[in-house]
Amino acid sequence: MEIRRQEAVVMNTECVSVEGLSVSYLSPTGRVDALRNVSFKLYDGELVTIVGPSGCGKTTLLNAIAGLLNFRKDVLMSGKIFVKNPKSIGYVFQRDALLPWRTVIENVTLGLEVRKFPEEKRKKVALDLLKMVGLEGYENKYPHELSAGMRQRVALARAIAYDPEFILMDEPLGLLDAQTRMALQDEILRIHMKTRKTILMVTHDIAEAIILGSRVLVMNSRPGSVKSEYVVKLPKPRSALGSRLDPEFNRLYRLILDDLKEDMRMGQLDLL
Amino acid sequence: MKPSTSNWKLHVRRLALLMMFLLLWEALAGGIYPLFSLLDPFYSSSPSRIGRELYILFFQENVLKDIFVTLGEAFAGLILGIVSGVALGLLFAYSELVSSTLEPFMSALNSIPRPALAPLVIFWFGIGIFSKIFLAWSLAFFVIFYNTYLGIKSIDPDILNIMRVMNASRLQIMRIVILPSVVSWIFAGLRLSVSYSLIGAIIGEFVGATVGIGYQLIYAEGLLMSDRLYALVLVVAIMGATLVELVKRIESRFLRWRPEIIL
Ligand SMILES: Nc1ncnc2c1ncn2[C@@H]1O[C@H](COP(=O)(O)OP(=O)(O)OP(=O)(O)O)[C@@H](O)[C@H]1O
Ligand SMILES: [Mg+2]
Repeated sequence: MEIRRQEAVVMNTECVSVEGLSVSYLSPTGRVDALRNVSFKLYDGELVTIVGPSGCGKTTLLNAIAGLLNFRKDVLMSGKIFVKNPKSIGYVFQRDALLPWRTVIENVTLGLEVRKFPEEKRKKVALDLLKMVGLEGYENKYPHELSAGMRQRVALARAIAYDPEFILMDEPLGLLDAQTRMALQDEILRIHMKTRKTILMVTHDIAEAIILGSRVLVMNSRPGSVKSEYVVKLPKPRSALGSRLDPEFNRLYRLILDDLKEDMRMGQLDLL
Repeated sequence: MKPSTSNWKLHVRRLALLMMFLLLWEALAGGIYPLFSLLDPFYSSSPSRIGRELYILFFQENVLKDIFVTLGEAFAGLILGIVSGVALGLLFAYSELVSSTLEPFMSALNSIPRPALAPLVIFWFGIGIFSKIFLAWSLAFFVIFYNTYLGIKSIDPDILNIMRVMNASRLQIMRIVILPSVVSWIFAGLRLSVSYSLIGAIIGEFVGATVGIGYQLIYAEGLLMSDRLYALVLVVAIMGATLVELVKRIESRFLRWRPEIIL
């Protein structure tokens, strides 16, 4: 058994830093301020989760960090984004973004193909990962032949396959049933323990945010910014089930829920 | 996919319907009992007369040659249409400057009814095969062009984003994302452009030619050979249906990744 204590890992190198980031979309119907003055840091090897109401700019934030808003003319950005190794990012999109004309295995090997890995090596990596996400035997199916939850798992395998240093995940388990979801939460914890990758993960599920994150960032809506931050002091190694039974879990759940509720009330006042 | 057990029944039903139709036609045209003829066979022709005419066409007049000339013209126009349509479609998709400038001209050109263009084309290229190839091209090109251009425009932006996150080069994005989706959009337009290129070739032959199915049709019309007109229409129909069936076969092989759409 390989159990490393998280405390033993020195976490001081910055992997990502976001400073005073504001993003607005300019659309024909008007200007939408998606993010205002967002600042936070991620250190090497951390798994940080983000929760926030729908439409508060979580996807926008991940896209900005991934450098995907730089291509666009309809986006206004200000502030600073630093990513230690922008050439080694993995991204699980909210909508799976699988290539429909490629089979499952061809989708998973995409990143390795781009990096010109030899065919056998690509295949081996992909088959291992598919087994890990519970999709053994589906390698030659096309995306349209899979359920939405299965497609999400393929997208997860694809983002890990080429071994990026830093992985962005936008609700990667959002469409799964409770059991599969817990199994994959454990899998993400295991991968994170083993590889010490830096992971930034968006989720709608407060429980998931606490179980997985070493810190939870709570965002508020319109225009989104980081409202509060909670350090999760659950014992390691964590498990999806074990963490739920811890009193610390309940304490944090309450606090985060109150945060989000307060934001909702303010949202309603806003409308009046 | 339909289960194959019900397949032969379907075929029997279709064959029976066809036989009944032919028999009725033959009878009404007086081919079975001359006194019982409601139709004038000069206008209505009849299956037996058409059969005789087909025999003459294929074994005495070598209509195969006309078929191959027309098919060749249509095919040449189609290939040129695909090559140029894809090329310009890519250019439009990649260059905002080109597409925004040329877009209105393209739709203006495409709205010219090709029969109206045919005499001018004959004037330019003569009555040989090139005028027909041009007309076939002029129809196939636009279908392929619009399919390519709009196809690229409708690629899921997140698929391009994932390629960018993975640091794919422009060339890799082209090979892995753009071209495969262009191929699928070409196939989507292929059935239409195959029929269109056949139409283009035949229109050209109507207006001025010395060989080809269109020429044979005009010739038969001039000599009031009604049975031959029926026979030739049948030949053209079979040509068109065969081509479309062929495209369907190729299509289903290439587009296996697509969900079957049932409306
Ligand atoms: N391409 C775009 N053009 C204009 N506005 C946009 C665009 N994308 C997002 N927005 C706006 O920006 C805001 C934030 O969107 P974003 O997708 O980042 O939210 P989110 O937090 O990911 O929401 P969800 O949890 O529902 O996925 C929304 O108000 C949305 O309307
Ligand atoms: Mg989102």
